Amino acid sequence: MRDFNEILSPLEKVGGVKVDLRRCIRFGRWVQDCGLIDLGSYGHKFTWRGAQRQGFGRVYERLDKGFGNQQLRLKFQEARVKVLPRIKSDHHPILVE
Amino acid sequence: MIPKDRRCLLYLLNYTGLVFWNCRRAGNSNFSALVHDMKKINDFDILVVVEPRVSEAIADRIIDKLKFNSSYRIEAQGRSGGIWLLWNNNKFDIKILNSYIHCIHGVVDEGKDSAWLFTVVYANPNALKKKNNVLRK
Repeated sequence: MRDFNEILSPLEKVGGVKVDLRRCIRFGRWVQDCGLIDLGSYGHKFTWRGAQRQGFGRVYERLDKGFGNQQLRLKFQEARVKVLPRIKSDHHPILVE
Repeated sequence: MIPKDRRCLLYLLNYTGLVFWNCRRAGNSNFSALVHDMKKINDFDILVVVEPRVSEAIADRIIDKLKFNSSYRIEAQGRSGGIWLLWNNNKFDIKILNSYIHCIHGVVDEGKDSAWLFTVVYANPNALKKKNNVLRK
């Protein structure tokens, strides 16, 4: 359950500055080293709405994710992450069920 | 979630939902009302709030208002950071193993030899390397 302020692939961001691929790969490698699996999500595709800057579209990113290791995936095979509607904050709440 | 067989049903009994929210300012007057609304719509027993941006004294008052049985929190460093972990302990118990500025490690003990580890992370965008070091421990 985490707000990593990091994304796994360029698909997890729209708008704004170009995604730093090396940073994505570094984060991906770190996730793999820890033996974690992204639980995925449904509902809204992105969990964070950024600022609107001149010359760029508004930025949306998927910063909040749920991760589990192999044992957790086996134990809770139906676990999934739901992205709830955003209220007040610029982050969406996420529900692991 | 539709149970496919009886084993599934059994496991649904001690099913727990967990909500993680980067709320940006929990001091807002209708924050607790929002959480109660969220509880009505979605079924969850654990709530994680990061970046509450309130002082200790106010935090106590807000946590009381949210009506969870137990709570654990990491104080914010000035205006940034801070994690609240709130849960209802009637179905399961949570033990905190370890906590740092950016994360909480804990165990959810559901009884009957069923327990699982969890980690809540709020990573500061500027402290990337530090975060990795903390997590590798």
